[in-house]
Amino acid sequence: MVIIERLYTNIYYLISVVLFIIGFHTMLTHNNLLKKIMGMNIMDTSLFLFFVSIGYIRGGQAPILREGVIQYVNPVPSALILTGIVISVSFTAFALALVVLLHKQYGTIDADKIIALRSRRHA
Amino acid sequence: MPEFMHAPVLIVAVLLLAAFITPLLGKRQAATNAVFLGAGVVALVLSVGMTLRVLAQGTLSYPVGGWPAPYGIVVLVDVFAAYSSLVLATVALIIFWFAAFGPREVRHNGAYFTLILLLTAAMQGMVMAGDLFNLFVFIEISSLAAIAIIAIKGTKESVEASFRYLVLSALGSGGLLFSIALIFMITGHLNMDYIRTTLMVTAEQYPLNLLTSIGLMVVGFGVKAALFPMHVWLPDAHSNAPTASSALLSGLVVKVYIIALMRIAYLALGLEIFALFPIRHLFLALSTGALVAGSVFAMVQDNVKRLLAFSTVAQVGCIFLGFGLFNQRAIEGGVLHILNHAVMKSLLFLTAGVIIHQSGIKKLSQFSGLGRKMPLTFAAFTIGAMSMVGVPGTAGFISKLYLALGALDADMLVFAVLILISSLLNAAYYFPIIISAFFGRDSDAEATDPAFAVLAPVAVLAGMVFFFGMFPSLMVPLVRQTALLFVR
Repeated sequence: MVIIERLYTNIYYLISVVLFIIGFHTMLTHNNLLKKIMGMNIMDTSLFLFFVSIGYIRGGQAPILREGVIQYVNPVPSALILTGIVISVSFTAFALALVVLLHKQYGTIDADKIIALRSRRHA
Repeated sequence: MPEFMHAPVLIVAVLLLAAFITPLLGKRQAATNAVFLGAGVVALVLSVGMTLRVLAQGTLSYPVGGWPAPYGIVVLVDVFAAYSSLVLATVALIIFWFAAFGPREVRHNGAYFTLILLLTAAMQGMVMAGDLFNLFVFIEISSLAAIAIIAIKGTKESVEASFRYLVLSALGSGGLLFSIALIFMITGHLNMDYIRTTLMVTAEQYPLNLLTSIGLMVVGFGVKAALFPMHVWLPDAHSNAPTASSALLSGLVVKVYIIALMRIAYLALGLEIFALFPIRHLFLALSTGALVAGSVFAMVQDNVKRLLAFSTVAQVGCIFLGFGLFNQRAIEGGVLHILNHAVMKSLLFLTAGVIIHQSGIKKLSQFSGLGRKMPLTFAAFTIGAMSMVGVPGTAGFISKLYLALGALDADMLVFAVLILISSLLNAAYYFPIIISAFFGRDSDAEATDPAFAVLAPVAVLAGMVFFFGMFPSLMVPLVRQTALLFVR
């Protein structure tokens, strides 16, 4: 029971770590460049979830000063994550632009094929 | 001296502003160059002024927008930050000079200069950041700009290399953001000073958080700084970039992440973590691997820029070795090596770019006799190579000497021997190039020394190699005080 209770209280952390690993794994192991970028996005999103859940309190209200509200959610992580999202979007946009260029130059978006094509040129 | 009060933010602001002006100037080459170089000069002047101020009055803590510490963002310029900023501004300005007047390798100089300026601004911001999230934002800007200045060359190889760099860099960023989140979780602060004071209380309660955080941080910065064995992206990325980009990336970018990591170590985490967690041993083991593997891989390269890139892997190991040995002289050596390697590796990459541009030859096996056709360029290359090997009188000798002395101080003779071996390995792959270039059989390649305007920045760097080799005392007050930040 204790374990289930601890899982329940830390469910957001748990899910974000699982998502992080999924993203990490996708990024490193998939050959399809688009899937790599998806993995990058999953990883970033998991971190946003992690950050936001640090500041979240169950039953907490939005941090606007009102009467009758005792518990507020910490607004700092949410504010940071706005910046994080912007960074993640620009990384994604840039990565996609590179994939378009790669597709133009190599005619494929498979990492292994690109490496094979490249080494053939060298030889 | 209230003059340079605002220098920390002005340096970043001036570079950023120039970054947005250069693309607006379109085809007006002279105006673009003027803005580009002007920003570099202003940054250098501000950096020198800031350094003098820090030396005279101690650490400069600048609350951005006037908001005080726990709520606002603080820029913290201590001696290490001032030293790093000075190194960045100086070496970057010379590379700017080369980018403006050297051989053109990219179609739109305006856009290229924007990226270089963004990169430099981000690096300046990174070494002075006093706030973890602010640091993270600068890291991301510099990562994106660093990838973009490789891809802008537009060749098949450079785009592929920059994509690989992007994937690994994004992994590193993910690790870093995770580690910042874990620190924020147990301290509730992002300001480095506040984190340190809070950690004194909470570190014992949450050792796992701290351990995970430090692990992710070392991996995150390790990937970006190309610490062995996380260097796999570096050789392709640095060797396929335009010349000025290669010099910036190898000379400055990889080191900025080392500086940021060490600043977090003593500012945010406190030096106690070096006693609690085996970070030093990790650094020692990885830097040994870097020094040996980097040099061995460099020996088997036939492409001159790839050889230089692998040599960077080895030299990054050298800097980490200084922090791994962790005593006064070793850290002085490591910190000095940041400057010396920035100068000599920029010199080597710029001369390699000039050689490739003038002769069309990339392969070392075809360099035979080229030195007699372009004596000035190869003389500069020789100076850089001598410094990499550590010939007395050159800059490389001083930092290697300090590192070796530090190894002896730490009673670890094996690392002094390691430095010696790495120097010998350096000699084994640099000297054959020079010997064959000057004394080898004549090849039928057509090549001459380039115009003086192209060689001038190279000559300045070559002069700096000797200058810092003959007069290391110039940097001593900064370097000594930096080491004192670690070894109190």
